[in-house]
Amino acid sequence: MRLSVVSLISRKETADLLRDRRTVSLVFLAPLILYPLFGLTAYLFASELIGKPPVIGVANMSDAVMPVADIPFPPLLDGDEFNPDLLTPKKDDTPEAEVQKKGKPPVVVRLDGDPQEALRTRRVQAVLVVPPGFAADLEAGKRPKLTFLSRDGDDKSKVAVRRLADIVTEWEKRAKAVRFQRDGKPADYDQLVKIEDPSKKPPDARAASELRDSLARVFPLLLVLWVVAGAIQPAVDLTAGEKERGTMETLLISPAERSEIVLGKFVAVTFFGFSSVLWNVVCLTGAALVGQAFVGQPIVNLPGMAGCVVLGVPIAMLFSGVGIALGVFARSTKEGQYYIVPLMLVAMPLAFWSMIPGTELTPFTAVVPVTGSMLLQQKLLSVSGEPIPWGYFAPVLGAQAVYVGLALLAAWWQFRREGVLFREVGRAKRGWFTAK
Amino acid sequence: MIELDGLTKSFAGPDGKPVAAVDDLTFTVNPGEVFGLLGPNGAGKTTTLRMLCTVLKPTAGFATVAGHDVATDPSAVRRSIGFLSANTGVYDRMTAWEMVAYYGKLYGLRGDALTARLETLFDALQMNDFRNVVGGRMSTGMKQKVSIARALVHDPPVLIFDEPTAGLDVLVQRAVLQSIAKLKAEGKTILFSTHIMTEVQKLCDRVAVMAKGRIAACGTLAELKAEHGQDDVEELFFSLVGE
Repeated sequence: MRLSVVSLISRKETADLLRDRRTVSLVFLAPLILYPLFGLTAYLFASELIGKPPVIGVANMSDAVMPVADIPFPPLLDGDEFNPDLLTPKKDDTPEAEVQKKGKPPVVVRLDGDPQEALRTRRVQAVLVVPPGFAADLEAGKRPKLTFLSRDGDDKSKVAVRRLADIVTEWEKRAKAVRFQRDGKPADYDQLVKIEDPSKKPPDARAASELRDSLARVFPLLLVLWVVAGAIQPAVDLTAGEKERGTMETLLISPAERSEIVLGKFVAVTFFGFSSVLWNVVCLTGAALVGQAFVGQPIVNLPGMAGCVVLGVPIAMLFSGVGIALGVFARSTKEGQYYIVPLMLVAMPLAFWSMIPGTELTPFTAVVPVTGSMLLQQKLLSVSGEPIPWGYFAPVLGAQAVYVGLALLAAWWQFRREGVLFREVGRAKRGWFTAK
Repeated sequence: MIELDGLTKSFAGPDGKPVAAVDDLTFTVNPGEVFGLLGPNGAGKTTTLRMLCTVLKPTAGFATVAGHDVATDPSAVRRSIGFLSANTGVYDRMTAWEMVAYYGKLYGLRGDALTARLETLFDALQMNDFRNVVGGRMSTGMKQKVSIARALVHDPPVLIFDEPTAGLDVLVQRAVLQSIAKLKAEGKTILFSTHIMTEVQKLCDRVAVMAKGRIAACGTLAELKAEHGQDDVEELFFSLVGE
């Protein structure tokens, strides 16, 4: 095998692919459009949550007014709005709830008629039904019932009722403290033990941590998807496409050996697949850094990102080899694209396997194609404090090298099969399928 | 020179049994000669040419091209031939110059030698007007000229043409045939597959008529006419193919 010929073919194929607008658009322009679009969607969703106050209807509002007492219960409502003290609860909650807490105070609507009607007509997004004699029952030591109503399948209604629940829970906590005080007991009378959790972080830090964990799981999957997009289409174009355009036979008649042709095309396709990885890492890192600026906490693990780039090489090589083997088997580009579906059906479960909670990097999973690489990428991206699993690099990369070798062998074998290279369309030429 | 001796190629038929697409072919093509390979579709012409180009392996028999065995020394054979067919495509996203230069490099040409060869070919084939036009924007005639230049870039001693004028308009056909005539005058060994009788009459010194994978007749046109008592070339062809 002559490296000069391999280099010549790969440079020509790369230049050819770079002039293909479809391929370049798919690999390089799509991330530039998609990621800002995703970011914008998330921003608009958050703005919708924060920017517009939820509208909450209260039925029997007058029954919620607390009577005067030596030690009074805290008011749930203050005139025609919720008690402002209850809008900044001390309770830690999910990142979504944190966003809600930063939102505007809910608008309270006094309901005199049917609360369900108010929900149906969308006058309100959630309803608090106060039972008759609520305040009196509370004073009497009874357990009156507060009811929340919402519209099924309506996101705004869900957000509003969650906000209502937060407010009522906070009010109940304070009302309970008042009852303990009246009985001469401490405010934390019902707290049997003190719980200390050093891992518990402030809400902002926890939100950042959750974002980082999500990124560590989703990022390797995105890379695999983009490798497939960046490698398979060029692989089909350089094999089935070349057969279709009538240039393959000319190339086969040139002095280039089959192995040199396969390797030249493989290098070009791998370059494209890896470029896709690199470009997406750049775009995603940029997006994550923007998110990091908003959150104010670190969510990007730059050394981990660099590790992902390195591990993107064998993944790109694997899909390139498989893509070329499948592509050369196809009669046409269209047929080649059909073969991508079964490839995805095999690759995606392997990718999702690495994302199942509890799946660990073990000597077994390390050698599973796609899964092993993705698990190692997840380890590199996580900030669990565990040392980098250097011991797993050899099995992961070694196994990938074996699979890449097998894929190249399959591609080379396909390039030597007369029945594959000169597959003709149509019944009359069926005999050509299996040359003796 | 091209020599075939009992060259045979079999494929598995629909019932799995071997079917001879080319059966026991024997003939010789000499330097400075245009040898016509005639036959209807499915006669085995393309299979024969593909074996001579080393992309198909013979099932039996023997063939040499420029002194190299197609079965045991395929690399040397490929370096010695230029191949052109009507189905030969060009790269849609490469210019005429880039395409011919690419093949020149594959044949080992580099630097000034490559540039000089390209200039000669582009002048001779009158391709300078579209040297920077990409394949996707070329007319059929332009594409065929690029294919001819690509086949000739390494100045091979042997040229194999597989129905090179099929599907071309008369002007391009004429240009292709003129190019082949010039190459013959340069002393090239030319194997020319066709089923167009006027081309045979214009170009071929000798012909072999193929039918069902075998040679039905071989010789000069005059010899075949005399042997089969037919003055008209087309009638001669039909009588041989129908036999």
